[in-house]
Amino acid sequence: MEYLLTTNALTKSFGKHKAVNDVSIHIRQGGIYGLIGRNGAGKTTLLRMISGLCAADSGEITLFGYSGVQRLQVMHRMGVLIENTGYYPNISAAENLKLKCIAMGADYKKSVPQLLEIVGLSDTGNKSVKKFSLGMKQRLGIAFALVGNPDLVILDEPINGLDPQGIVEVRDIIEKLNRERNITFIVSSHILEELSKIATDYGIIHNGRLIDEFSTEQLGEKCKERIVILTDDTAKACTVLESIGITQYKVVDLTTIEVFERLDQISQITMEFAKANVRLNGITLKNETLEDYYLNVTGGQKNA
Amino acid sequence: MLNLVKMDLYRFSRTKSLILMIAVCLFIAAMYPIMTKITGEAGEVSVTVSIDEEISSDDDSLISENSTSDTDDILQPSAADLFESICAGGNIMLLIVIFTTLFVCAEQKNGFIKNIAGQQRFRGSLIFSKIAVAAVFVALIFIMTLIFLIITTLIVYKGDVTLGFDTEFFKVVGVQYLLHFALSMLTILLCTLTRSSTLSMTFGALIVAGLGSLICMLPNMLINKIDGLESFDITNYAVENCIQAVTSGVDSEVLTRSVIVAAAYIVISGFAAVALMQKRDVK
Repeated sequence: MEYLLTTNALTKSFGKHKAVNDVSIHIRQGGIYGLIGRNGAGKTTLLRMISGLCAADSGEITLFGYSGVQRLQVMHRMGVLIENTGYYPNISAAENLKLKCIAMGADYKKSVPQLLEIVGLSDTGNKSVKKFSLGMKQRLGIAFALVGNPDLVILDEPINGLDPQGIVEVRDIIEKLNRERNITFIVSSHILEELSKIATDYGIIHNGRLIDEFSTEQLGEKCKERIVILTDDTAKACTVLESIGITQYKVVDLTTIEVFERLDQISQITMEFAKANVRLNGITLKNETLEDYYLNVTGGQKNA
Repeated sequence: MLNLVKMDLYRFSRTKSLILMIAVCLFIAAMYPIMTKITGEAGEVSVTVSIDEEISSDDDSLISENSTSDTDDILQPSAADLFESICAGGNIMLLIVIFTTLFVCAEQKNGFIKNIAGQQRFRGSLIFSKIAVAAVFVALIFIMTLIFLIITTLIVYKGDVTLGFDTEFFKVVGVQYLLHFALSMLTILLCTLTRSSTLSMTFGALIVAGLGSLICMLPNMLINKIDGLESFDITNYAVENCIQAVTSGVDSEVLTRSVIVAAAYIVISGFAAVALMQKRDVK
């Protein structure tokens, strides 16, 4: 599989606090990678290292096949929006974009109108950016990230503070650019529901460490509907399951079995356990969302 | 790097504070000949009165002849003299500190730096573009002040004034430009180091106000105790003092020392600012 960007054991500390600890992520070309974590998990620090705004204490970043000092020659193929959008408040969106176009050597006469059109800011005219709404500023930030036709765009919490309409607009922009221009995105967020609508791959970061990394398909496998059986005697319970012809099951731990077939026959399965004198502590039908999975792997509700 | 220079020069050409700085310079350029003329006319009266009082027993015809010619020489400086006074008087220094701080810190303060810093092969080139703007700004201020000064001087003195633009004058202006550019470089370093427009402007204003001399008093006293260094004065190597010292008629030693001081400030500030920008994380 071709990875556009990989990190290898990336670590960054601020004093005694390890903000990013031995993180190795893998970004597929053409995908939308959702970087998930709560506030203070290390998402922004990781993205700042990838985007060249801060240096890692140790570890390596490989971008478009280049690593080390050679990576600097391909940094212009990346666009970034880290935290709040940076802009000059007293000039218009077009003037702001023009400045970045000049800095990147892009043709501003052609690029600026195109970018404003893409993010839906064409009709702002000479209105200074300080008068924009938060949603408009975020869209300007995305426009900044798109200057120079990058192949990889990093968006750090682009939907923070947006109203529902603003969230939909940003989501639509990302999906459209990914589909039409094959731009790879890394989007960090702690709003899992929104991320689950667009991401093709996920990375969960918690207390500076990468807990898990998976694709949407793998998430589907991890979160698919199943019957969860809680019992003190899993061995005997497995015997009962096999005796009634159930083979698609998994023993999760000493007290838990997950069954992936006959999901509409919970009552019959319960009766069979009763006949075989197998005590059950619980039997439920479960369907995990990304949020449920995230909370499970990061330690549950208390850490949300 | 050239693209960054183009970006900052474009931003420089559109910044509102530039217009304000130019307006202040033009005001100074206008006020100097006016105030000099007013002061000169008031001085003419007082000189005439004092001569009358002193030479009361002399021939009266001598009094009016002498007083008139003396006051003309004293009270009608050339345009070159006025320009040198503006430079040496520190009027432009403060404007340079203010504008440089506003311009350099804006990129950091507004967060625009995050849009461009990561994509550069050599992040220190963000400083080179600021240096280019500083060089242009100082030159622009000098040129506009000089042009407007010439115009207002000719108007105020009704054409009866010498411009005084000789080789000595251009030498002095050249050295003053280097010194003012050096001050701008020092301001760029302060801005890069502190990342704060408040701190940078405060330090810069204090330097212009002579804080350097105060700070140097104790080290000077200690150095003067060393044999052979009794007459050494650190303040001679402070950029603000060099600016005040450089005028027409000054020793060539002072001019040479000022050029060396300016060069040292420019090189050290430049290297330090580039190194800081390259090594530190962007906030």
